[in-house]
Amino acid sequence: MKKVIVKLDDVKKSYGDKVIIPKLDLDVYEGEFLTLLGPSGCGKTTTLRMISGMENVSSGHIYLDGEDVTNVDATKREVNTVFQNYALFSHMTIEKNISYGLKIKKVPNDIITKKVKEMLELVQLQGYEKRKPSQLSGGEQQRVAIARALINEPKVLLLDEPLSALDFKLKKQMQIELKQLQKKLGITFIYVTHNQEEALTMSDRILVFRGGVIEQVGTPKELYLHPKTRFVADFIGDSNIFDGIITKISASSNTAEVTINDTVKAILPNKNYQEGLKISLMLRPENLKLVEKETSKNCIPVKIKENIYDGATSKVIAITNFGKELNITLDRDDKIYPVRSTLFVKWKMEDAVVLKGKEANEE
Amino acid sequence: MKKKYLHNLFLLLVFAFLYLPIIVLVIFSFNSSSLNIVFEQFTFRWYHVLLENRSLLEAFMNTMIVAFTSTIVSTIIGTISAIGIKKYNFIGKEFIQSLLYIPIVIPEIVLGISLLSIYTLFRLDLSLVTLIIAHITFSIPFVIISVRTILDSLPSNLEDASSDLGANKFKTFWYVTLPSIMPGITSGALLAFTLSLDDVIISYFTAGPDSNTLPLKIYSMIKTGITPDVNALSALILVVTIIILMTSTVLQLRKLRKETEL
Repeated sequence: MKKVIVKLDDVKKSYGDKVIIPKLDLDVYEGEFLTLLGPSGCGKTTTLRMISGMENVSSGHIYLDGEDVTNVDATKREVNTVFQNYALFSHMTIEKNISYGLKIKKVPNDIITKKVKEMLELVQLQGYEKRKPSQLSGGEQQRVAIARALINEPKVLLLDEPLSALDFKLKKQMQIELKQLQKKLGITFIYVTHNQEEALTMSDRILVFRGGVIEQVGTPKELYLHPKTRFVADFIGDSNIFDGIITKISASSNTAEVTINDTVKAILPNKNYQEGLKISLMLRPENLKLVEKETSKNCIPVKIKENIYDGATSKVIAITNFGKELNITLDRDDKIYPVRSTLFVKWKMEDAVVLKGKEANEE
Repeated sequence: MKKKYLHNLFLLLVFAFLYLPIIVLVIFSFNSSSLNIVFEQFTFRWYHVLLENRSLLEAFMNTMIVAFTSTIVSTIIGTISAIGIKKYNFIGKEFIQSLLYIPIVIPEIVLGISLLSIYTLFRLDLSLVTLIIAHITFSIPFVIISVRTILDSLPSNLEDASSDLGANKFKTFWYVTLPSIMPGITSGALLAFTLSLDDVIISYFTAGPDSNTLPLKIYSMIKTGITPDVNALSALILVVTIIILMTSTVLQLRKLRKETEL
């Protein structure tokens, strides 16, 4: 069993009458890369700030390495934060920025000098000691912010959307660097982002937040392949979602029949469904296939609306006969049909993911 | 070729427009004639006269006392107010923020009269103290606005970052907030200092009989006709200003060069 390094126990947060987080229980394991993912205003940053101590909890407890730190001041908690937009001290040199935490703790100077050197090496910024933050590029400033936090040897490193200000290429590169750094140091990272791609690339575990509540927790693969709710399916990756009703259960083949839009019949493996149950069916774009001839099941007539080529893949946007737009990703050797061709889209029964009923998820 | 000639001519005219009056003033401060009409002979006489003029030196001392005291007090009050307004939410915050601009926009003469009437109301005798209070009053808004501008440009999580790294509120203020807003404080203080140095109107209403300042003194001197010793005094002030300006430019350039070198 892995050791729990951060534990949130029945944590609640509200500002006046406004409840941000109604109830949150969370275990973060030692050495993992955990991402809190969600749209803006979902409570993920608030959660991070409560762990760091910059925000108080309204009720509940926070444990750090087994110790109750709920009422411990931010200055005394053994966690450090990498902030959005870095929050570097612009009047100090890089060296002074990085050594700030140790200076405050009155660590002897010779140790500070040694550790600053180690940190600069770690983030590959040797020779930058005497520069000012304004003389560094965005990516370099980001690394200084990381070094400034890591030099304090925190039990957990908190990262609040640290890559959001970087351009696309640099963002990609920093994602890999961050992941490697985390593996190398073995420190627990709690990472906050609204970018699902960032979350999928780096995390060991992702926690999807919605309106202050955990929607689903799992590895990137689990969340992508088996989203439990419509929200998660929609938020992570591209998806095609159909709403339907279970219309027939076949005990012999252990399958269930779903009727979509009163006309289309789809077959699913039966998992104790009841006739009349409303469900949503989710299909990833890469699991949809375009075919010229109609097949007997899991097949919908479509019309090609647009072909999109982005270098790595070809994508097709198609419209069903009941007006729903579908995203389809083609394989490398799939045929590309001209726009307005009438075709069929089909899928394998086991690729369809059943989400909780539509009513339960609509707000 | 012709274009360049025109270009230079234009430049010359602009500079003449800007600096001719000052040059004339400096030249006439070395004029042996006591009339500012024709240049007779070169002399340092007026500078000697100036140095022997006790009341003028006294006025100079008063100006310095007022300028330094009012700058220090208004900078401290202004900085604290700016931080307070930025950091805390309180009832009437918007109102106070708009009130700040009133001493800046209302005519100085109105501010001078209102200060005078309040001193009379409280039966305060006009002296150096009332003069200093007046100067503090009109300087504070400039400091607040100058510091506020810098405060607004700082990243909002700077203080969070400091406390996250273990610094308490006092250390955060001392090591992070204060140095970060220093440029705003210095420019606010400089503004307050220069405003105090050359203020005539408000000082005219709030200075006592024994607290004449240099601008007031000069103003009263020219009422009886401009004498060459006023020219000499102005030339001296000019020299001091130029020296201060050059020093700050050189320091800034050196700092800039040092930063780009690394």
